[in-house]
Amino acid sequence: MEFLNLSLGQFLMLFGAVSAVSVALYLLDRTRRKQIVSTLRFWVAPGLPAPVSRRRRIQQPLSLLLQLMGMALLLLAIAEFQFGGTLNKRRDHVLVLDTSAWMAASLPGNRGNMTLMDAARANALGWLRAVPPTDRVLLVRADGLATPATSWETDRRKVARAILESQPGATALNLSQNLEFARELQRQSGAQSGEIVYVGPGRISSREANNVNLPEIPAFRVLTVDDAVENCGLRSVGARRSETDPGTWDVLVRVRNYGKLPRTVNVTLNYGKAPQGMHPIDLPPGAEKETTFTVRTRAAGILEARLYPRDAFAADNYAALELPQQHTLHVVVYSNQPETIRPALASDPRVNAEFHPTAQYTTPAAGTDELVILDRFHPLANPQGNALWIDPPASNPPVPIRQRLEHPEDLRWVPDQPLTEGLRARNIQIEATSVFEPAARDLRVAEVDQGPVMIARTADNGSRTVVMGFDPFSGAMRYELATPLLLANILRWVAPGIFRDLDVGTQSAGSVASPFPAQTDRNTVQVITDAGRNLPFNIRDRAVQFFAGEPARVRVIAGNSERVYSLTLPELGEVKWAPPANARHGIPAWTDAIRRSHILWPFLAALGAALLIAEWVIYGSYTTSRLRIVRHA
Amino acid sequence: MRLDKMFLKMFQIEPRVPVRMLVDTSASMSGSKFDYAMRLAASLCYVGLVRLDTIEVLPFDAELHEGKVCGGGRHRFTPLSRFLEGLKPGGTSNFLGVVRTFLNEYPQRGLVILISDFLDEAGCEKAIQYLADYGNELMLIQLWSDEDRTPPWTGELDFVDAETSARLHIHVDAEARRQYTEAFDRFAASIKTVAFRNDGKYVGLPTSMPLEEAIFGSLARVQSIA
Repeated sequence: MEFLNLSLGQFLMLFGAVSAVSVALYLLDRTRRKQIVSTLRFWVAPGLPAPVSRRRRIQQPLSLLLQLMGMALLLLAIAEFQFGGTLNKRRDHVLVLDTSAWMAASLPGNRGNMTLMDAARANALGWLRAVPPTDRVLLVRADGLATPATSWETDRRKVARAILESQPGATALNLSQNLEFARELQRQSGAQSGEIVYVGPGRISSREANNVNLPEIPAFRVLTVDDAVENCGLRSVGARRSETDPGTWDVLVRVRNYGKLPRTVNVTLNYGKAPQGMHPIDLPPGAEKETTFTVRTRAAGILEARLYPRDAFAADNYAALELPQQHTLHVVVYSNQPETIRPALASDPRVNAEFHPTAQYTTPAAGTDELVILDRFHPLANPQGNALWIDPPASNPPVPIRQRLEHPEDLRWVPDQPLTEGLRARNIQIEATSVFEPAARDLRVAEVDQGPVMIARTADNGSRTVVMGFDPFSGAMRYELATPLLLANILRWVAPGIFRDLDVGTQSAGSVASPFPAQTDRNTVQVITDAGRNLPFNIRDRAVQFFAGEPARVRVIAGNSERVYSLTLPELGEVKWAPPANARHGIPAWTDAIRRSHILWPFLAALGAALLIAEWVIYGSYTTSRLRIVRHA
Repeated sequence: MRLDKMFLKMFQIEPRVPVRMLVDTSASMSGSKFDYAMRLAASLCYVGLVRLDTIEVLPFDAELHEGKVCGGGRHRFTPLSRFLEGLKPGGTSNFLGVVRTFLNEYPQRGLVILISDFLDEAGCEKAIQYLADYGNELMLIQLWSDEDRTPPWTGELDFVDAETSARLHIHVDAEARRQYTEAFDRFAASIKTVAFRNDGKYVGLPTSMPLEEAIFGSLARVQSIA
């Protein structure tokens, strides 16, 4: 027994006030009234004394009782009195509708091209119709994230519209997070908690299945959707430049069988509409296998992977990724001894080297991205673009020379900068070196006790210049491992975009963990979508972790590496979740614990009004003769 | 003699019967009964004036007051109307005293029209009988209001007599009201019996009855108005 609109105290206070007024009016109405009449003779029987009426305070107790009962019933109607105590109290239910990518799969038997999403919508609407009308419902769309689709609503049409507008997403279901979110919403609603209803097949990732942590839910209901369909799908497609042939991409395709029957599928690969190959793969139930392709191209194009035969879930049978064009760095070397430099430059296929004698020096055009290497000579006009000076002459050097040293023994690399990455060699023997007088903005790369012997600077126009006071390609240093590493660092510093390690791949949306190269500055990490939007990320366990809730193309830049993720494949859960034993199933019936509340207030109001009218007819000033006079008038 | 014969001419003189209208102006007539009585008296007088009769209107309560004689045609109605308008209800009823006074002052017998509620604590039957015994033709018009016959009140009531100011504390319910109405009807029947016993006429008129219906219906039926 409870009141929806008033507390018990408020009801008693109101009833007391109304009763007091009613009793006062009753006593006032029932007081002795003075009436002047023409004669008293007919009120007294002849020969009998005049009747003496003993006055009573309550002349018509039944009249007063009817009035008070009528008032009480009307007040109960206003207070929305209900039987049943807390069973009929207004509750807040959360409807968790599965909108994971798997919901786009066809129903078993392919009934009328209906999908799991259609069945889930139908179940959700059926449950919504069974909810007591005074209860509030909030719809949560559940995939990798929990997204509230409505506020707390008693308007069933709004909730039904939100259910019908729900569509499958691109990520797998994160059930624990969604149910925790729903429970938290119930706690914060302030009303009595109703049911948390999950509608869907309950397919979760193996990562979550190993650590299912459902919250304590007092009333948990599961409306299961049958998803017993066979499906094989692409898990990921990755492409990486071959380490031996720069014009070749190594493509890795991973396929998984989500079904319960072994299957043989064919993976085909097309590049720019041209077939690149077809590989048959035998997949046991629940197994995941991979196959590799080789694609030879330097141009940009679209790489497409397809899986045959088609199955109930078509979204993971096709993947496409865009291969970028392979760029090279044009290096012009002015040297009279090119044979010392040539092997170092020829080892990297991303370098297109051109050698000229120093006498043939021509000033390169401004704005070019090429690198000019000046080997122990000084041109009449300095290059305007990127340049590497090797042991420049003392006359008119690009950087003032403080002194010239012979056989310095304490050459050391200045750490914590890109140009000296990986250089750890000590006691390097060089025959001679110039010690420079650096400017304030110059980077010191290598030093001796007397000063810097190798500096780098970036001009205002963005061109970069490296000046080495010694020749690393002569003497004992030419046999040091530090020499090719130093040159590679210089080339990468001059043109970082060309020498960045590039991985291109397509995989499922949702949580992505990209490898984080060791000894990479965390400040260089960027996670950018094609639209230029920065995604939030976290670096943990030597991986850049981020979340993409919808299909997108995301670039992860970390130091000298760049990975391009085409997150176009749907993320599917591999494990079928089993509801807890205490979970309710099916759509609740009228006699269920959550039963439709009886709306009593109209009956209470009608009964109260009827009592008051009856009291007025029986005890009030109502007479039929008066009514007749009124009608005649 | 023109015909040399003696003729005896015989004439019968029909004596004029004096018409006297006694109108009750006691306090018990207050309200609708008094207004109805004035309008009824005026109407009857107008009929008499049209027939060139002479009517004397005599108001009374505990005493017989000075009356107004009206006659000579309908053009003389205005003074009577003003006289009736000047009357006010008040005082107690004393039918016996009034009748004695009337018989002393008007010994010539005639038609006596008595318009009253006949509510006198001492009773009125004896006084009416005196009027008849002295050779007067009686026409009794009893007026009552709806409350007089069927009181609408219920509950605890403090009744006050309009004439005597006597009080009666009583609890009225449906049974009491029924007994009241029966007692009233018995009283009206007794008035009627006195009238009929003396070859008089009796008409009981509730004030809710329209005056036209009373004149052309009830009064005409008893041949009070020829």
